[in-house]
Amino acid sequence: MKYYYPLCSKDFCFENIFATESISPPSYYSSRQFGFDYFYKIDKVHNENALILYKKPPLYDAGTLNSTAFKFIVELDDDYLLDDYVTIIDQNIIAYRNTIYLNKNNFILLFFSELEKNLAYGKSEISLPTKDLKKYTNNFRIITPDICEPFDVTNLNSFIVENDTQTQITNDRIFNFFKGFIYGVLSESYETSKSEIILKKSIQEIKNSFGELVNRTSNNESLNLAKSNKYLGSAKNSPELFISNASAAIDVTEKLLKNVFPAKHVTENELAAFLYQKYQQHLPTLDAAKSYLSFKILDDKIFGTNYMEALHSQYFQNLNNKDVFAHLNELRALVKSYINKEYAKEYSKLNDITNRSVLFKSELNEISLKINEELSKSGPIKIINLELLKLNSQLNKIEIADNIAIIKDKDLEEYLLILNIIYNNPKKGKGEINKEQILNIIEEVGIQTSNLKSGKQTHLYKYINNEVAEYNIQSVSSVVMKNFVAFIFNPDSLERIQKFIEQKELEKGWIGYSFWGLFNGFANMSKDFLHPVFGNNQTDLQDYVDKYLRQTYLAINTNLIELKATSATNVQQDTPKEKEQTKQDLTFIKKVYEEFKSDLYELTLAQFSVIMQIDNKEKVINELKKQGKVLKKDGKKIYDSYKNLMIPTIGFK
Amino acid sequence: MAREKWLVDPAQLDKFQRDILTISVNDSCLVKGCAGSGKTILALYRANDIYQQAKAAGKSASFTMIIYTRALQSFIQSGIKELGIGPRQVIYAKKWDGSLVDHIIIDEAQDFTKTEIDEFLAASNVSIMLYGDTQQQIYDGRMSTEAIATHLKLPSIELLKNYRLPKLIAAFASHIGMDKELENKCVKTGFEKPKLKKFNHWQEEIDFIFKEIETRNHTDVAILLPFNDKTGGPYNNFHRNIQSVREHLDNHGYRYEYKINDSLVLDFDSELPKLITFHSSKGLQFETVFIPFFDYPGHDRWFIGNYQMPLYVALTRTYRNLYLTYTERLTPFFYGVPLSKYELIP
Repeated sequence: MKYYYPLCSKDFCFENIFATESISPPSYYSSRQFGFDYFYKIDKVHNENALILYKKPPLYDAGTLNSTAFKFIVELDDDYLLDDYVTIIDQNIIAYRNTIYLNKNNFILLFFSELEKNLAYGKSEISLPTKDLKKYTNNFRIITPDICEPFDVTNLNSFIVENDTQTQITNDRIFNFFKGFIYGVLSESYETSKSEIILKKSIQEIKNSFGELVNRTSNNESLNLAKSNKYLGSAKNSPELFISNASAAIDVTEKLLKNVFPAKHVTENELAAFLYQKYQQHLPTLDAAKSYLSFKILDDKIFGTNYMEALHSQYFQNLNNKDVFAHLNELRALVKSYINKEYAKEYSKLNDITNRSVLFKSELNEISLKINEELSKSGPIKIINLELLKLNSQLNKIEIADNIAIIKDKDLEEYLLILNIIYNNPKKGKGEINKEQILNIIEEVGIQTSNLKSGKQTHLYKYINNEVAEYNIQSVSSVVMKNFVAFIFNPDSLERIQKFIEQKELEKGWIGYSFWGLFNGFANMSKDFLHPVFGNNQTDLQDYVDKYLRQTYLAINTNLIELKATSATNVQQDTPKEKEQTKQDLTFIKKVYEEFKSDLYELTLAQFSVIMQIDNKEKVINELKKQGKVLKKDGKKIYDSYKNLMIPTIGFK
Repeated sequence: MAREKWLVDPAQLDKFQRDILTISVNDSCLVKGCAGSGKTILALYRANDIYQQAKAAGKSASFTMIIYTRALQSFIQSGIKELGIGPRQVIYAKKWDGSLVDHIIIDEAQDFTKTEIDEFLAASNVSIMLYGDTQQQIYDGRMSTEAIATHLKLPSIELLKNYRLPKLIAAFASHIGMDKELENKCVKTGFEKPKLKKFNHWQEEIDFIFKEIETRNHTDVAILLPFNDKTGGPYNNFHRNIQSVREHLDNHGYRYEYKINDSLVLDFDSELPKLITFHSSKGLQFETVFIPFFDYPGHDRWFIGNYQMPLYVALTRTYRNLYLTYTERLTPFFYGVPLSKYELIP
């Protein structure tokens, strides 16, 4: 069965749908602390704490938003609704008291016109957290308003939806962070090869050396100074030097590109036809062109000339669809035009420096597009076995099976350790990152991985805390730790961490991205980073990941539902002994929770359970204070009481 | 330049910015906004909106965005590319030929004359959108933004917040500049306070800067200096000028771009550090700003009298990191800045 959820949008057109791949009850947006914090609520058809779903596309009015917004409807498959969160309002309307996570198979966006669909699609392209919509190409449809039906919504606003909003938001946050982690790990399967990184760097080097060239030749004053002043006139600042640097950068890129675009085969007949067509004045017949070509081939053989190579180059330049090498030649000529009179004449119309610069950049942009197009032809991405990665939400930790192929032994141990420290210290709030939080993570990692007395004594901690002035990543031996440094240096920008990892040519960059994704969450991941999965035709991979994430989401929910219902039933898949232990731990947690309920104010049992499983007394007390406003002395009492209950069990172990 | 710098993160926009973004492309308006309020980026999004509306309808977009300075045009080139706007639809004012289009977008409206503003209005068939700030007016005798709105009979919206400068940097800069309310105007907290480090020789300051750029892989960097050359200012300014620093950089093989006057072009697709004078840095923004030689001789009264404003401009160019280095005595501008407003690196 299908349900329909009416929406309207003013600016970025898809609300938050494609940043998080979900829709939530309106009140969630402002308090969940990830993704967008606003939602255009339509008073008459929405309810603050639940998604009001209709059995038919509803006829609705966007109210005060009408003049500036346009309407669209989400059609949802009811197979994906969890019974525990459904409240029936009447025979045609239900309230769903939780977030609905979307995948290609469970929703369709219904627009009222092709124009609005196209506009929404186009405008979303400049929104960084809105993921690439190619994944959802088949999830957009046009409907006509006449299929919409009126519903009686008079009592909707007075309808009180009982909802444990805070627990569900906590749940959404956990899922958001874990999903970020999963997409970070997934990048292993399409990680940029070393040769691609070198190529990317060579393109940037063209940009840098062209920047220098334009900068040094952009006014006569600097050229005159170069001639008159002893120092400035030195070879170090001559325009020739910058032309030579820019040309050298183009040469390097050309060499690298020969591996990406192997030489196309052109037959002698095609070359002769090209000569005949272009130089008919000198070569009046096709046969004349053919004999001319034969002589030139012979010249190359006997005298070592390069006529044929030059002719090939001319042939490809002449094609309407210029190949990358023709674009590179344009770049070369533009670079030379900055000083060589002959070339300058050729570009006389482009005397203005800005125009020349625009042309250079548009040629370079064409090259980048062609490279990306060629590299993306590499076929389906291999699928990592995600089943080996598990979120154990009861123990509040991430687990990875030993037999995972992408990371082994000591590295795996170190990786898991850091992962779980980050998992327990995810980004707080939306927006900026707090430096103290980053320092806490470094300190905890330092405690667990170094022999130093305090995590504050590590060089990384001191550097970030401005106690020392320099840091050398080359002195870090472990690949996991190098990626940790990459994350610590760039905790708030995926683009920066990518550039850092590529510039430093760090191995297993996916480790760094998984730290970043786990800390920042999926909602903060950019469309650029996720393009290889979302932007290409990777249907199998997309379906596999969505299925895996759905299972994870259900596990988190089930856990919370069960915690609420039975207080402490362990569903983890560990050994019977561990299973028994965890079960008992949760029973004790529940016991302590009941005992101190009056002191715990706003904490739910699920939240309390998560806090009590932190293996550090001070942190438990701090978290109780922070999340539940529990006084420190009461927090200490609660912790001691819990540990006292645990003693026989620990002893028994 | 970072792509993230140009694309929108709607999660980071506030209601005031969103209200401006939702103005219909057919409506005209004037947007007033203080330094750092993101006027230029909002103007680019307006251009993108017009482009997307036309594209969705299968038409070609008829608009011109007019920029007052070539430096700013050069700065936004990469933004234009990221947003998919045609580079030739964003024009440096002096190159505008007066062609009629449906929509005109004007950045730095406060710097145009009344006649120019009238010409822009006459060239727009459907709408005109202007962005400006009277406080940032370069020339005398131009209209205030309020006067422009009244003259064109346009509604106006004001952005009162600085979305670029982090509070942690503003708290420091406000002690040096005149605007004591700067911190309250800022929206972002920022990652860390300005860093201050002392060296034995000025060349060590420059070496430290380039080492830090390499360590952190900073790719959007400005190194801001008070003077163009050794003769700048009435007294010997020693090494505190672009000319001396360039000599050191060239001798050590460091790469950079520099700007000492309006005709020198900086390329913002290049990731090389930009060496710029305080004066020339106006209107530009960088992820990381280094200000070396934060140690002007105490007896240099001329400097104190003339460089407070330019230094304030320099201190407020960053949207993330600010490093200050010195060798001798700290600049007198620094007196009275509480220790809690910066981080001292040993």
